[in-house]
Amino acid sequence: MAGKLLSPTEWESVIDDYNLGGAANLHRWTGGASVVDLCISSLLRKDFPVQLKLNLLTFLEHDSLDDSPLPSSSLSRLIDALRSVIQSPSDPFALKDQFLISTTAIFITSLLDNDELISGSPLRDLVELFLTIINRPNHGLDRHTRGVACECLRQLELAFPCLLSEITPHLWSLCQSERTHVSQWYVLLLSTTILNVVKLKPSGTSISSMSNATIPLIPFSVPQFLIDGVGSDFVWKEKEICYKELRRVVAAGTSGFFDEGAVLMAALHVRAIALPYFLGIYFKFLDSFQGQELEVASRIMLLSKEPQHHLVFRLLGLHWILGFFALIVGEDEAKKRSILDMSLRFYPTIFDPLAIKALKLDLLAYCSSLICNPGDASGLKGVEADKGVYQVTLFKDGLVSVSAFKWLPPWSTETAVAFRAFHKFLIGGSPHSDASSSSVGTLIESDIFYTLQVANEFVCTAPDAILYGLVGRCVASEVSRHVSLEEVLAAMGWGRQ
Amino acid sequence: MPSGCCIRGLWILNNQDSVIFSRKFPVVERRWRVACEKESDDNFKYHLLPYDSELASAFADRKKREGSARGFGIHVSQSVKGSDSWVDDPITRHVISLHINKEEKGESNLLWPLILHIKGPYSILVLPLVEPHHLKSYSRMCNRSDCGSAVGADENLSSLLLDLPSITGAFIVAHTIGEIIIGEAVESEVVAASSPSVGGLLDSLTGSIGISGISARPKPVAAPVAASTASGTAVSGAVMSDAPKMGSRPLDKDVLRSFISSAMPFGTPLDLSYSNISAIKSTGFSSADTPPADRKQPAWKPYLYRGKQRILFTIHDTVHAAMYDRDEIPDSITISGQVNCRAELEGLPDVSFPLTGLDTARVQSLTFHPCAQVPEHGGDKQAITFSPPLGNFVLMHYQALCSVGPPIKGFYQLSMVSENEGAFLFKLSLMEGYKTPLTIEFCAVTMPFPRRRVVSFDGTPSIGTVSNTDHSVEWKIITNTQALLGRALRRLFLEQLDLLHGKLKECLRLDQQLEVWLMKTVILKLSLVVSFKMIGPSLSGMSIDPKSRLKLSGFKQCEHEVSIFPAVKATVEISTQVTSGDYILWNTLGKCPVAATPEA
Repeated sequence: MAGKLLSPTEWESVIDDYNLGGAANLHRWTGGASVVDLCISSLLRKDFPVQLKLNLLTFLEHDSLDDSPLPSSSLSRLIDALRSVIQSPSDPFALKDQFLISTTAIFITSLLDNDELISGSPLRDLVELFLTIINRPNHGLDRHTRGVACECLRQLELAFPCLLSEITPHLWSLCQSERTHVSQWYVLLLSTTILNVVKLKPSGTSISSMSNATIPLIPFSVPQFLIDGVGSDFVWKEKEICYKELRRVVAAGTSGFFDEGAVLMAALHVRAIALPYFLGIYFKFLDSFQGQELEVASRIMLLSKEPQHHLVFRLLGLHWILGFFALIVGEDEAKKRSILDMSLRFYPTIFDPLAIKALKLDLLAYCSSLICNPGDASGLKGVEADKGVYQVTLFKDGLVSVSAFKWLPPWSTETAVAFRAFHKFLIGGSPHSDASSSSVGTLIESDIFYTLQVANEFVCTAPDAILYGLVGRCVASEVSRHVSLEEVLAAMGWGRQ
Repeated sequence: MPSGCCIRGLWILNNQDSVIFSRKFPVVERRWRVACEKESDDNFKYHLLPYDSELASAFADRKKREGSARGFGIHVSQSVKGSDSWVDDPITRHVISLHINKEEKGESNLLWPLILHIKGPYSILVLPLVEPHHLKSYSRMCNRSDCGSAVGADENLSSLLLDLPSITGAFIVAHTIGEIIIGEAVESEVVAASSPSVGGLLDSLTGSIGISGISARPKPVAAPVAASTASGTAVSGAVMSDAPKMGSRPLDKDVLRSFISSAMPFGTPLDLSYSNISAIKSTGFSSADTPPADRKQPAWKPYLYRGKQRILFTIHDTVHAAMYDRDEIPDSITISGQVNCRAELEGLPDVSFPLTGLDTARVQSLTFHPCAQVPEHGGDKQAITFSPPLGNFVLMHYQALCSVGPPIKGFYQLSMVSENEGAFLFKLSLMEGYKTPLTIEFCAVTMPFPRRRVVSFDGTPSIGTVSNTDHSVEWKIITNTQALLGRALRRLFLEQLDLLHGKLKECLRLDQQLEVWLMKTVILKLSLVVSFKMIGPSLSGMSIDPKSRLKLSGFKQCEHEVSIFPAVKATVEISTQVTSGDYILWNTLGKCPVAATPEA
């Protein structure tokens, strides 16, 4: 049923209504007609402004999220409309690019929810259209659109693994030819395709060599194994594809990426923001990085100290260190020791924002918690005493940075941070995973606890609410499952009962 | 599940908490749905992304519950179980969760990790794709009875964040979007020593600010340290006011849509360079833009420069100092800085230059632009090679100790002679021991009274002028650019501003409780904030030496030691400037914040 045509103003209202409350709001506008069909008619209107058409395309994408998958006929109509826009000399590139993107997104969501459509003509037609676009390397005017088409193909390849496996040799040759700035988009497409070939090892592919394509690029046909069902019998057949060649292609595309850890470490100096991704690689190949843990930790620490980074990256850096330590430390005494050796670097500095100070105090509390035996701390840099003294030194030194809580209002954030640190030192220093009755003694007799008892100024300046809050949290925590509120209060000598 | 960064959706809210822009990415969302369906159980199942109205109301609810848009950050008595501050971590002011209530079904759906970036009047929320077990883990953390804060506990926020690089990617997306909607997506400043001659192809393409005049840079804002958390979070004192300021620009949705369709068409960020993307969108390509014959054009350089060739470097030190004038507290002086560059060079050349001042004893950290190559090991002087992108860019950041004495030192005393009247004395010496000719563009000291109003003051400075605003007294020591040589420098050494009397009046907007507190204590902790800018040798010791020559194999020696390969004739301009960052002299008669310095 063909619905009435909507005017640009009406479309604006439709989109606003939809964004606000979803598809339920649409019926009064469409009168039951298919939203896609209505959109397609409007997209082809020459008198509609380009900006509205761009909005319509995004709207269609959003709608594909909560609407049922589109039928094959709608997809075909969408492709026809796309083709006419792409071929039109008067439509601007911005519209063409967005049309390519939105159509791909709608296809992916619709086809994945309806397997039967994969074998149909719409997917084949869509891929063929993209291949026609990208098959003009170095062409000047539409270079960006070619890049976008590469990305669309890549998304299809990600959604339907090995969809493009049979035409990999063509993609390789296009990659070699393309020299404009979009060459990276071609490389990305090729590497995704190769990754899928290597990972899923499709059988029945007709790739015999990367340098000699046996089937033409166009017409494109969806590989039979995809039609039969994704991943049903993917078996690597070494003879069918020259593995060495694949390696060469990968090496050309990503030269230097798989070098050793030391090289990656050097790269880290180049780009601090790549750190989380580096850490991902690091954890996958933990054994290969033996002995470089502290170099990694030092580099992350620098990230948190560099004021040019937005606060959030510095905070994340401190979290990564904490997470990183937790991962590497295990029972290894040597690693514990080297972490403790780093502890001086975790001291908060005067211009650190309070959030950074709070997390650095966490790091100090962590260091303090690493010391299990009285002898652990002896010989550490800057420490000439035993466990207890070392823990107390870390705590006191750390607390200095938020000592402003002594003269700021009791409800100040500094006060809250100071008590938060106290809580962490207290909890961190006691065994928390296997709380037993002996932990009661550990907690109350711990040196930190004692320090606080005597640190009258600390206790006296704290408002009741904070003290109660702190004690409440101690009691609620797993650690002190066996400690009653009264016990803690009595031990603290606050006598509030 | 891909290890890279994928975005499920993003939303921009205004300061009335309504969503004014939203974008969802169906391809990524589908991946999330599939993952959820695999791991669904009684307590966990897939929910559609919220509509704008649902998200807005969840955001407003959180704001109410957490005290402000960002939230408490740490566990306070108002913290509610299941909320972000229950987790007791400052990062929850940036990585937030929202509970979406579906009206008709009466169920609540947890959205996490939502990246919150506040820019001007806008709150930007970006939701990266994670794995369902990450979300489940966070959900457990914010419902734990002990508010989950033991360091190194089995399930902790740090380990979770370490496992989620997509959060970093999502923040970069949020920041870029913030700059675009505020209209700040400009490049780093590069100061040319000669008069600027901008033009040609480049600036119209990059939409850059060109080579901005020196005066274009705003003076550092004076603020006392207690409130110097300007860069972000936990403001000291109970007043965690982070209400966004009113903005003057309406949001340009079309610009944003166009950026998103290029930068992250399917939700996976590909290229976030706004200047390149907007140039491509607005200029496009002509058949005359031919790619180089022998090399591939990199993605970060979609256009090649054509015109007169030159290369500019600016070394920019920012000095941070906390000066106490007390025996028991050492002063803290550090420098953070950057080398900005702009290379107007044809083709795709490599540039190499020798950088001095990299002595590891003084330099604490170095971070380079991805286009640079740096020898792995080296001494104080190293050859940096890079393939410059278009327009202005920051070639490197560094952090170093000061290689000479502090540019401004002295002491500051303030005591209250009555409740409303204070007496001040401060004595400063400028550039003591500095020999090299340098130019001081401005130098001023400010006494901020953030909670008080200055009614009047009285005093005669020995140089410059003194004036006041409602909340500060400012002594402008040098207002016009002055080139200073030896004698003039020495004359500045001992300048004294004689007793300056100020009367302070209560600020009516303060709440009663806070005011009483401030009367007792805070008035004694005020500080003196110094701001200055000078052109001259860097204090960090970082320099591009104009005299030495560096032997570089493969590079043809040019007249300048900055060499370009393939060799071309290009002018090279190098300038250095030093500005003040947080530069604070604490009142010797009052309280002051300190930090313990570890004995190395």
